[in-house]
Amino acid sequence: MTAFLLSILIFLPLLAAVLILFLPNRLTSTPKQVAIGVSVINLLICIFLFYSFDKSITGYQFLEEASWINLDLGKLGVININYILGVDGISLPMVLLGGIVFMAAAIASTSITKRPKAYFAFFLLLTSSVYGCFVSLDFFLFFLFFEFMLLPMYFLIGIWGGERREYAAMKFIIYTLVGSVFVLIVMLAMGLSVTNPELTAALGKNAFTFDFRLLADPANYVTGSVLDAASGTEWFGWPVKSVLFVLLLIGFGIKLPVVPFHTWLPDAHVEAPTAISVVLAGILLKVGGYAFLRIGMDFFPQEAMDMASVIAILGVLSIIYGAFNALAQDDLKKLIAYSSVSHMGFVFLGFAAFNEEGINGGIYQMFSHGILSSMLFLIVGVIYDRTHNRLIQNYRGLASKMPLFTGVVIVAFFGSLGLPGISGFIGEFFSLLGAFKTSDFSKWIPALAVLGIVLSAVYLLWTLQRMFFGEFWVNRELDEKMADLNTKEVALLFTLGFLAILFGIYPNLLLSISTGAVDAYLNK
Amino acid sequence: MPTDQLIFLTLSLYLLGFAGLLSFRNTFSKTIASALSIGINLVGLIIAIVLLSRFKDTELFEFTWVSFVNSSLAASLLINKLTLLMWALVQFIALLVQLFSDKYMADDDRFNLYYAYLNMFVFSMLGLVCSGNLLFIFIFWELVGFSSYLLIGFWYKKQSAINASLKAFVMNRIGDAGFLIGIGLVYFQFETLELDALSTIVYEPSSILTLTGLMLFGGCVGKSAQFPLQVWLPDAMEGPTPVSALIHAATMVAAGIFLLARVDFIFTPTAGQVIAFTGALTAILAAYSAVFQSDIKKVLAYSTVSQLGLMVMAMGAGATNAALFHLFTHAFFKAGLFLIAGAVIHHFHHEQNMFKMGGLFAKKTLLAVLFIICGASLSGLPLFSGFLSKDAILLSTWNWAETQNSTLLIVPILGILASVLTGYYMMRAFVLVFLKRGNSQEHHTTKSRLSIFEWSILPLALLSFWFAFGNSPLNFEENRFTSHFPIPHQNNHWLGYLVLALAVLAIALSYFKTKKEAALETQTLNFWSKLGLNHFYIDWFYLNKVAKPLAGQLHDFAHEESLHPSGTLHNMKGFAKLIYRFDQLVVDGGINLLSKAFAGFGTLIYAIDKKVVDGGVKMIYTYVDRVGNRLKTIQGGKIQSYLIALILFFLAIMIFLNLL
Repeated sequence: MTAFLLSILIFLPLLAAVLILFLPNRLTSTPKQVAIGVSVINLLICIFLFYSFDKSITGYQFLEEASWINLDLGKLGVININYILGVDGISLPMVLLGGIVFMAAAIASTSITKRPKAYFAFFLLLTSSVYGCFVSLDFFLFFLFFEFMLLPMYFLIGIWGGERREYAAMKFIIYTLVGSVFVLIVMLAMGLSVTNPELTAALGKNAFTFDFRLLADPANYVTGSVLDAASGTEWFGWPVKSVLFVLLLIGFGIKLPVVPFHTWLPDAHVEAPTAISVVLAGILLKVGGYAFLRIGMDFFPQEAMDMASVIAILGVLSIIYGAFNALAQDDLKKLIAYSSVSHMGFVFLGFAAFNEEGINGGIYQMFSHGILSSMLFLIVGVIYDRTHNRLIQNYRGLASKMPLFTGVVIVAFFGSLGLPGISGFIGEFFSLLGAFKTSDFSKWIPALAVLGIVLSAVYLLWTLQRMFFGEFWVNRELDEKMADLNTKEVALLFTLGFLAILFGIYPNLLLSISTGAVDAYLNK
Repeated sequence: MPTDQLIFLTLSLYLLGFAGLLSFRNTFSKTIASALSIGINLVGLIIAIVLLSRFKDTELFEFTWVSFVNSSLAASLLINKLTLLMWALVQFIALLVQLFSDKYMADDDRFNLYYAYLNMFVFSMLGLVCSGNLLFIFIFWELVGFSSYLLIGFWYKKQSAINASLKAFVMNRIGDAGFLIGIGLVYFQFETLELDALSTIVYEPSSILTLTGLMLFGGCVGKSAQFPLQVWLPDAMEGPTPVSALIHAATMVAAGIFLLARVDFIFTPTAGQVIAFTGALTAILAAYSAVFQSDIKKVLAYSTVSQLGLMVMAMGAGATNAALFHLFTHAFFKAGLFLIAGAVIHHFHHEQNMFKMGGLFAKKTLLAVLFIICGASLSGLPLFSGFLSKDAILLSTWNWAETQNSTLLIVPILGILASVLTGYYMMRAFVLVFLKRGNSQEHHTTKSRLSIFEWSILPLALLSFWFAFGNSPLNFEENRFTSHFPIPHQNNHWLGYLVLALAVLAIALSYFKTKKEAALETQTLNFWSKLGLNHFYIDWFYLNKVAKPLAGQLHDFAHEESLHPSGTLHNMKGFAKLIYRFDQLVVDGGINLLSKAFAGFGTLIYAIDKKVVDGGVKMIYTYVDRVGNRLKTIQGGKIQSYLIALILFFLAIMIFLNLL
């Protein structure tokens, strides 16, 4: 039974998407029922994986392997592309997060009325490809999913988005395509330099592979290939491996996003419909962080170590720069988009520390940000659904009319600014602790990151004060619409709030899973 | 029951109290809510007394919280004398405050929520007190700040209250940032955060250790309202007055001092000097400001800042136990004073301006007597606990300064001045509120019976006498507190008497001067009183010179008429806006420019494609067409023409081949 779980995660939404396309148009509510059903099944699978994960094994579990493409190049060798799926302590938290975020987004999508068939088909395609990214263990397969994510996302923003949706969608796709090109270069360079030693011995010629597990081991490099240190090949005056690492840093950095490659994010968020913002901030950004760890740092550990201070500085730059930008916003959604940039900076900071505390902290920060930013974007959605206006200064004293909503906002905002007891604190704290512990870079870097924590309190609480406290007042045109949360919103926001608090009080729930894999990586 | 279980039982009671009152805030009646909350507090206090009475030895408990492969962080409890004393103190004062609030908040329609927040606060504060490592101290430290935020901004419709709560949280956060850096530096150097392990390390003074100590001290600067972050505490008085008594006088603000006591082994001599000086400076600045305030709560707030400054000063001077002694004595009489202020404010129907009060002595005699007791104790008069603890602080600091470096004597001198001023402003407040003055504009209020107000203040007043702590009213060296927390024998006892003489002088001066003082509104303020009233313009500086340049002009709320069109920024001033403009114009602009360049390049290519390539093709096409037309005529049957063409063709090929 457990043998095909990961495949089900990917192919169930894919099948459902196809199914939806063949549905007759008159069944308007079936697409959303299908999407919710698929999300529920996937979430249950994720929870099952989470509970049956064996923490004592540091390698991949729930492995599925199948031969896929074998391209015989004659004397040059064989290119071996396999369908390999599996999860370890690094990807499992992301898979679980995916289950949660897609569930929330599916429920939040139910208010979509414009062309629901197409919407839910794209939504399920997106689901499928995101899971694919987190569970594939073959670079080619990963890249396929990584690229494939863009297509549904482009349409979801471009068709169901706000006023400037075409611009935002185009910007999103161009930015991420540029990133993809960098990743593609690395994939080709690696795929054509690394062989599967057993197969090579069996065939008597080079058996090139894209298997993550083999790519990570320099012993598998073909002698004389560009990656082989002995070959002394240099690109632009740098060793090839360093160049490849930098390409990955940019490629995945765009996705994360890290300053200065972040400007697609605020636009995409502002234009995207609520549920898509939730997916974007909740799980799509994490593909960048996850892939940077899994591919960038795992395949090029030495290069990553050498550039630790660069990674850390990029992280801190994002933290502070994002926070200042958030402080300047009048549009609530843009404020939260910039706060995402700021919070994702902790991921890079933690990774750069190269110790248990830091890397686990970075992973935790991704998970926690997934939950909290989902909450935050749903919160924006609550206001936007009622009034179609997101400007902070049009609202005042909402607490008197919307007490439940205010309670949820307090949890989300304080969680986001790192109040202990809510998950945001754990990620930030351990990232910082790791960054302080390491001797790879100056103590100034984490100390500056702490400034970001002060700034996050300023912009979030200032917003809270301006919008929710004081005498109730909203713009005359919006006055009558401010009703408190409905059942759907309560269910969504309270569940996410509960999760944020659960993972804030009991971090070992997740850390005990990631720590084994992180330790195995550090000891390599 | 073992100690750790009792501790957890208490903590969970308060947490349940918070959750229960929060969830059922609309179902519970006010009576049930306050009975539940007070009941929890009573049980907690009884457990605390049981724990205190059976205490023998320091106990440590560790529970794994986060475990990595090679390291782990524990949730640990450190139960020693200090823990249990604080444990009891917090709950004792909380109990009285809750009793007091039952009447004070009776008319508030969010009564139940208020009690829920109080439970949250007590939970966080107790968690802080019993934590055995820096991580958990920090966790509860933040939660204490959070509860304080909720309680200061409890009346969330009042603009001044929500401004104050925001300011309090942000100022605390700045301090916490220092604390967090300090924790990071500790972890970097010693790879542990357990207080027990840290206390056994032998520390060699070094610059990084000094920095570590000062960063940890940063947390105290925020929470205990020390210079330069002290500005939040006077504003925090916007919260309900019982809250001020509990949080902003007796417990939360003392957390900073408590933190210093927990990590006092880590401070290098240099760090100690900086800390002592900061404390002394805070003490004198705040005491000076207290002299000029007209709001009764502001006087007490500045007084609190000043007293905390004295404690910090003693901490810096290495006199941990003297500072703790003052922490305890201060907690009682200051909480008492705040509750008295609450009763006074309640009596005058939420009037806080002392110049509009007066003559209360006749109507509320017991309240006045209580004020005299607590005030005398605060002013450091003999027979009261305040005399003992202040004496301990000033003597220890004086002797510390003497042994170190005579220029350091400035520290105790500032401290002495601050404590002399205490008598002055307390007398001033007493005269304004309780005595009849020639020009006082007193309210016509009636004499009322004793209420829960007086009864909840009485224990605090009794604990402000010397006998609460020891037998000798004049010597701090032999009392119940110092027998557990020994303060080394001090010389120079003349100092105490000198301070006393000065304080008596100040009190007398204050009496005669205040009797004649006109209401603040009618006074023409000179430079010195403006300086005091505005607390040296520190707050003004932050607001106008830091906050505005950073965040931009604070928005005036939009008028109803103007709905801001989405996307417009009507204010582009300030550093944050500048960064945002940079982001839009340079970072994003660069990308847009790049894409425009690409698009332009594309258009160019397209033009080339259309004009040159396609044009070429077209040209060829037209030529072929024309040639074809010509050739049609050729084909018309003129054989010669064919021949000529053939020859020409061959010639051309020959020439071409020759060229190759």
